[in-house]
Amino acid sequence: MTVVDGGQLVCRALQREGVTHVFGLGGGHINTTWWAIRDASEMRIVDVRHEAAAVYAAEGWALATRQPGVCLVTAAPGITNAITGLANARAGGIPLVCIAGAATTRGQDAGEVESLDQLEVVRSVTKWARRVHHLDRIPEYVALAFREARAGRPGPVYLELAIDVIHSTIEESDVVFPPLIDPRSGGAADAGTIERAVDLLEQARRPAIVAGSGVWWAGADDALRELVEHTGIPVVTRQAGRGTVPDDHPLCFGQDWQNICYQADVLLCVGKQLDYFFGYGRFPNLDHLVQVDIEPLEIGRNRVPVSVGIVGDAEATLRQLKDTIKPLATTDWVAGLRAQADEIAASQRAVARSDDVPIHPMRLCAELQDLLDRDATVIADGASNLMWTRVAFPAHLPGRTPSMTNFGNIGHGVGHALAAALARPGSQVVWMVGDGSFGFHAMELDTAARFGLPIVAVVMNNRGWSAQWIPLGVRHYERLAPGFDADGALVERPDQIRPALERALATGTPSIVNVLVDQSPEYFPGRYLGPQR
Amino acid sequence: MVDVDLLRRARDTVPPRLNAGLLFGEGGFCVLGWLLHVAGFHEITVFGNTIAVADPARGGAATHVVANTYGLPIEVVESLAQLNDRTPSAERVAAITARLDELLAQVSPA
Repeated sequence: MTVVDGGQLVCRALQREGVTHVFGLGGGHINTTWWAIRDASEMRIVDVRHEAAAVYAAEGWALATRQPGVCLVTAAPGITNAITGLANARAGGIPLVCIAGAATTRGQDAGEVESLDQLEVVRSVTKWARRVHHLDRIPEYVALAFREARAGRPGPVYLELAIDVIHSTIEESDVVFPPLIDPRSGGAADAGTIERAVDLLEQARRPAIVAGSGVWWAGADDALRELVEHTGIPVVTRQAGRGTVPDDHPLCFGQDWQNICYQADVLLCVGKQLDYFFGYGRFPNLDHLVQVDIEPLEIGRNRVPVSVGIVGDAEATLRQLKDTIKPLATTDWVAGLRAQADEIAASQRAVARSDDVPIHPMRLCAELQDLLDRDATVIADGASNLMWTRVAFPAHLPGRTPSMTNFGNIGHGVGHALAAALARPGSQVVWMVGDGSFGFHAMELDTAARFGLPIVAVVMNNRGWSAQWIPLGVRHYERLAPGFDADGALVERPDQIRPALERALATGTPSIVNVLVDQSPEYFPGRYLGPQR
Repeated sequence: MVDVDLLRRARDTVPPRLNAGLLFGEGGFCVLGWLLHVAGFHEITVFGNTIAVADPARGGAATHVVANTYGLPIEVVESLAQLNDRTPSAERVAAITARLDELLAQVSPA
């Protein structure tokens, strides 16, 4: 006879799903769950300083490992604090399971502390939200939550358990643990649809592939690379798809979708929403768009004409395409693109040699890139700094370059950094953050210090919300570091960059490198301006 | 039909600095970004983009969007953008203003 409480059942259900890390912030409404996870072998609870950071870290875990992240937050204010993170994950299609405490059902409308209609609040920022009413159904609901997070287009799911439920007890043998099921379809498209897509690609003069997050979530890295190498079609990668084909692959043109897509005549778009960060899929020289997505509603979103829409798993579909299509004559097309890319790279290198004071952002990025290992994680967090980080840091491996979703959030990067450092101990993790974004969750460097995670925060400090020209002034963010037993440095001149970064990467503690960069730096030319129609 | 009034407004308000390679960012607008801005495209449609105008109704490649919005031949817009990107920053505003003057003189002789 083993009697367990609700919190222990949550913990056991998470263990069955293979969960090793839970990001959270404690509270009275989740105590038994917290205690059970804290005391469980092979599980670790990572307590952060704000619930939004817990969600960001769960996102980061998913982005680093391809498995749903898990966060645990308390009732009412715990949930409202978590909302921004959930919305970010919803927009980015990032799978995570948010488990929340809740006030008692009996206390509803009675003025009970931390009472809120949480389900009503979270529904618009999650893909699935439920409350567990009966103790014995906890494992079933946890399993459902993981299936929902992974199924179709991934996303955040929410499960709440009232305090009276998690404190209740039950004989464990009376609880049924459901079978584990991977909901990812792996389903193949019909042969006729594949043949139509292949016909268009084989007739193209300037074919290209855009690989989005769906490639990463489907585990289709190898299938994509094999298709690219078999056909010779150039590829660009976007969002969580970055690194699924390494940027230094001869047929990969990194993130530079704007140069490629505005020249392509036939585009194979795999697991990439036709959204803001993809120019809403409007490409004037395009004759045909072939779109592959696990989510039917994504096909032709924003009234984009799609010649062939394939609803299916990215890996299965890419393998079908590879088995059907013949090698294409893309040598001249690829050589032209490579010449353009080389020209852009040359102009970037020229800017990166700038000795200007204040420091040109590209100089900072180039100095850092020189010091990074191939498996380093570089998290871009901010608005203006994305212009530099997106081109300065190649994605050699997937799960290493998380960035903004179309939710447009900032401040999430430190959560992603915590998760990456935990997922890949010993690897370099750099949080490239604007000074504005740094202010949101800088306190999480305390979390990094408590857990011994040597995250390097590089503050690209242009002294304001530069996208809006709202000044913040010179602030010495590096002086926060000693308070967290961390390392801090101020960098004002180019010659100070490398020593400061070398020290930060070697110190073994969290670091803050505060770099005063140019507020209105010159960008670099080298973009497609036609004509090639 | 060239929208002369719009083109003149753009010429008359060219900012003191133009960026190269980016429609709009920390370094301000390039000529394409400026022409779009004057035509009513808000900052979010062009921010941080090299060529993409992210507008679900009127978006696309900036050269095409500018050509359609101003009634200019695409080749003229491409040439203007190339002039922007190939001219050193210190000379860029003067060069672009001069080209816009030429265009206005062609479509609206004094």
